[in-house]
Amino acid sequence: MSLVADFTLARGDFALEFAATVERGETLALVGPNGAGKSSCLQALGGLIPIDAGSVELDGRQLERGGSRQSLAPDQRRVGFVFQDLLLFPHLSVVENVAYGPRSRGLDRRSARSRATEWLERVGLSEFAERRPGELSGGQAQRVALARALACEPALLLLDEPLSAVDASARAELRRELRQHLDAFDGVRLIVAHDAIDAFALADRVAVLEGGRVVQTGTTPQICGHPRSTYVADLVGLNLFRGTASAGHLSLPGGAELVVASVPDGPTLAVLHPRAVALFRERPQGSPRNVWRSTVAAVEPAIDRLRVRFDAPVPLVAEVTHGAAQELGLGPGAALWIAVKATEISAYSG
Amino acid sequence: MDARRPSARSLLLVPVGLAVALLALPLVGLLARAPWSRLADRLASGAVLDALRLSILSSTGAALASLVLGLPLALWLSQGRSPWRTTVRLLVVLPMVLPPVVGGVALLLAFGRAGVIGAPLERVFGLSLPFSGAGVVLAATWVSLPFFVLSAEAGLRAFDPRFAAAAASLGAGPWRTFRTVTLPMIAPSLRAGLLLAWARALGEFGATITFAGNLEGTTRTLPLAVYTALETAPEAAIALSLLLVAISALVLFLLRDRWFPVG
Repeated sequence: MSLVADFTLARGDFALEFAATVERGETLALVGPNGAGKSSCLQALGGLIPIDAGSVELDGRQLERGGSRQSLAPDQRRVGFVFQDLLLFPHLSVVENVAYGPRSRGLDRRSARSRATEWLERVGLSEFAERRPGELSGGQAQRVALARALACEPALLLLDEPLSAVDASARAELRRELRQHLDAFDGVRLIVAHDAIDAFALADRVAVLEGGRVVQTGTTPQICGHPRSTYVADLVGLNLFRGTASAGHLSLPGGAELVVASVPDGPTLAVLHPRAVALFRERPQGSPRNVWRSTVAAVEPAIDRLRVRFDAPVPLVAEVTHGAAQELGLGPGAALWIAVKATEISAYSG
Repeated sequence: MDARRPSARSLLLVPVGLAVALLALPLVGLLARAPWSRLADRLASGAVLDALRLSILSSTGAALASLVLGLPLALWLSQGRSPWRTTVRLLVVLPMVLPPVVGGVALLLAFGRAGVIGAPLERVFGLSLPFSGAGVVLAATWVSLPFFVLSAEAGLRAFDPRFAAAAASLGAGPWRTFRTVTLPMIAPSLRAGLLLAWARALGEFGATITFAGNLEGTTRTLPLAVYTALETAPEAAIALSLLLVAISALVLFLLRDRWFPVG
């Protein structure tokens, strides 16, 4: 019992190629830069935009086959959708919003209402039943949207950036709640996440979309430990190097070379945590295998540290404490020595 | 530069004052000459009440006809991809720019006893529209339909279709979606369109007198009664005009949220 999707679609200049199998009880997160096709992918699965080729199957039932006009309308798919802007009906009360799905699927008014009331209880909003959506906070509206989608008892739940309408202060709490509701829902879950924390906290697996195609799929440790694109590396906060390895040396496109601990020869990716990059005013003595001199291109504040960006000869980011920055006299244009231990660079076949 | 600003602003007040005077003076004249003490007597006559009843009935009929015919038209205009849309939109706004009396002549030639449609209509069904109450409604609908269609279409265009997608994802078919989501969400536009169409129908003169005539009790609406009274009993004309002013003020009051946002 699962979602089996393998399709392509084109809208104007944009082309999307998506293939994934998601099991019942599993959550797949789609991450990727803006315009990568994440929302289009959800809309295609929900039947809101047509696919051109391929097919979408849910629990063995064919929802759509490209180019054959065999497509189930959105209202026939048993697919629940939590939209990015939530799209709660402004003219209906909260309980009417949640009852809308059950009522549309043939339940009588009273049963639909009692099911909606149950769902509102489950998301902790019983006392808001008679309010209008406009009177709710972002987090409350989010919970109503989730209850509305789940009250239809869908086989597939699609969530488009479900936490984007929520204040930072309420996010962590809502994320934890959402995870509980997702775990309690025994269908297939697909979630578009803009934020790495959301993706990794909510999903069992992550698929990375870039330029309309899936560039990497894996569990959280797989993605975090072995990012295959600069976007993913940035997302998880790592420096990524792409080059060719030969006898423990990784040659980078610009001509620079890094010494890495152990790596098979051939095309190679390597990651390095910004905190593992050491900066010095004078050439350091001792064991580091990779030592070079570079000029600071930019300094950006992070939460408790500073991120120092270098462009050449090796483009990378180092993270230093504010104290260390002061000692180093950090600022754009400052010439510093960079030292990286070979053992801090984790290399894998690219 | 700053010192010159106030004088530039006061210069602007001259044309503003002229425009306001142009708009307000006719109303002032009407109110100044109104036979306030005899107003109740003037308005209580049988002929006035007949005209008032006829006006309200025919305007309401025209507004309802605009709703029934205009809503599907507005839907088609807002969503269709037909190449005929531009032509049809042109037809829709035509009654707004055409002199109503020309509309009356055109209606007569189409629905009159010798008209293209009127002749067979009378021959087959024994139905005659001109110089009848139904003719008043037809003429009023012709002039007021554009107001409803334009207002409804504006509402439909402002409606975010993703709400319809949300309804579909919840299992609602197209008809249920339209009935329970689209219609309630565009209701303010429909209400305003109905009110505008009703007000336009109430004031209709040219098309009505040309197509339906000026028969007391049958086709003499309030504007026709004002025109008729002006010849013989000017005081009655003023009283009837005041009645129409009061109704217009009521319409403006009902439209206040839409046209006069606070602030």
